[in-house]
Amino acid sequence: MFHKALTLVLFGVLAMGAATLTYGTYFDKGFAASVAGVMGAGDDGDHDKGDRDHD
Amino acid sequence: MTRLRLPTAFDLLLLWHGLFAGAYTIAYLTADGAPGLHEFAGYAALALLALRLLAAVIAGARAPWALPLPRAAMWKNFGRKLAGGNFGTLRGRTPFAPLSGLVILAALVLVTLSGLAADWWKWEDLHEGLAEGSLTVVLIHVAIVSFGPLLKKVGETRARRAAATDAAALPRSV
Repeated sequence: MFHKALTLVLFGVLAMGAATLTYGTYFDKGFAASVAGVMGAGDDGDHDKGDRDHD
Repeated sequence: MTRLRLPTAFDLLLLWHGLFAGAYTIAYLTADGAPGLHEFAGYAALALLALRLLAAVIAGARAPWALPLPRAAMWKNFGRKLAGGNFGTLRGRTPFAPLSGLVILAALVLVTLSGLAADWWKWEDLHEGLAEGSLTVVLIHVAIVSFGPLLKKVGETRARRAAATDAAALPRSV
């Protein structure tokens, strides 16, 4: 029971992490910045909504 | 052969816990440096909370999706056992588990709603304060939910080992 609970909870955490990285890669600041952000090492204060190409 | 079966309501509740834990952790980690991801994780957490409360309304009093209300009978039974010196009742599920579940649900509703409000008004400080406080509530909930079952498992393992040692020490009949 304990192992099953742990497995399902870890699966949920991984699914949420993958969904956030996918969102960050395609709709925010790209893969590398998203990985850094998810690991708590993001360095950006402003958020460009929806588009990462802003030149 | 392994037989596939549909997930039970309890499996789905565990999966919900995992998704919510993921959304909460990511929202916490991205609070300072990645606002886009923070908003994504925050909205996901809010949607998951709404889903949980909707499921509780639909489920009514049926476990496991019913709201974790600590019932008076549960507290009385627990208190009577403790007063009688039966500390074994601390192993397994105690009434503190549903109580901490209810407190954490209320705290997280406040955190996510204040985050939503911070999108429109200058409520960042309130949201940040509530979120920092909620981490303590989360850690207490995890400790309460894990501690009882872990104690029970340790007790069972010890009893099994002791039984195996006793069986090995018995003289074998010829």
